[in-house]
Amino acid sequence: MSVDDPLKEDPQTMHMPLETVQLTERQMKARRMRSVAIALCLLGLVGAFYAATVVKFGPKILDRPMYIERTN
Amino acid sequence: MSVDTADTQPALYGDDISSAMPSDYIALMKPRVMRLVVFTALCGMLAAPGSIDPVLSIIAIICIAVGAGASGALNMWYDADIDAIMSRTTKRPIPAGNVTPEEARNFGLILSIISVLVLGMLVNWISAAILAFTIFFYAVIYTMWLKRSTPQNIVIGGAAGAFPPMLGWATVSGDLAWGGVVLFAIIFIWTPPHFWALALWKMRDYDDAHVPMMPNAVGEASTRNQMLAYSAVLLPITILPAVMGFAGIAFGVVAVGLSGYFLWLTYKVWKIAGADEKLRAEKHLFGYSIAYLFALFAALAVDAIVWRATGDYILGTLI
Repeated sequence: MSVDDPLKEDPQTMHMPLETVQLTERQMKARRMRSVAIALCLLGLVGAFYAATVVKFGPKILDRPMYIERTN
Repeated sequence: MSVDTADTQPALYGDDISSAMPSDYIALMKPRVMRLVVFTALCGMLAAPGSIDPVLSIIAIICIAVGAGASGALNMWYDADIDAIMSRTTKRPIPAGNVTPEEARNFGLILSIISVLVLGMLVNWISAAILAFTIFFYAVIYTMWLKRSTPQNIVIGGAAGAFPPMLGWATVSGDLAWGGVVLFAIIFIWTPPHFWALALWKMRDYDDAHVPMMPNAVGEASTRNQMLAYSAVLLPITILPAVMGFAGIAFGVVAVGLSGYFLWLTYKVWKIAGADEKLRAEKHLFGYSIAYLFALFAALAVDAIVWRATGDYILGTLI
């Protein structure tokens, strides 16, 4: 009984040339700008949650020890 | 693992890869409508009793704006076919080929979910529920059902545009009070004469797109009669904030002046009855109706700011 090794390359396809897609200058620029916009939105979302947490719980929430010493 | 470039085919060009810019996605959100939504919601927040932390109020306004933008994107997704026909809308992102309908739909859905969840988690869940209902009402009830099936589309669908001040009120007060309902009523009654002025002006476009706007469905005369009726009802509604006590007499005076002129312009549209081929009365009414709503809610905001600063309204209240 033979077991197909998923890591073994298929002889029928291993020598077929790879298909690639060439983005145009406009497509690359658009993708870059969309990525920047999404990153800024995510930063804004993080900032909103941070600010709202401080507002709702009060500034004392920022005054917390970095670690708690064990007493025993 | 390196790839021997000699074994690769010549590159294909991805015609179906998006070249949409962020500005196209912003255009999907109908920024001009968003401005009005944000403004009326802010006025609702100022007019409501109580207070809210400024940081939370900014977050609430952003969530409301994003929710409004999501509604706009979903509307543009569903109406892409008629947008391509009407001259007023051919340059929108989908008919222009900048964004695919599927991209617009997914964008709208994601923004809807994020705006509602963030508003609920960071402000309160009553306002989040109203925002969710507003998005559903505009995208499903108005866009997918009413707009193409009944000449009363604007009358009922106008409720979507009337929710923002109620939404702003709920973010501050945490409840649905009569004050928010009155602000809702002002925009609800304003919407039909506002949109029918546009519809009279753009009758042919709506006809080509088979959208049953009132003038196309029941005729111009009936439309003008109804516009006059709505404008007459609008005037007493706009002084209710002063009568009910959450605005001062000064606001009442301004409201009478603005609404009185609105009624006068609508009367002119009714009286001229399309005798002017250039439809100047209709265009004038449409243009004024936009400025009217801004001015009315600006007066409400100024009144509320004075109240918050001094503990009293400008010239006091009627009761």
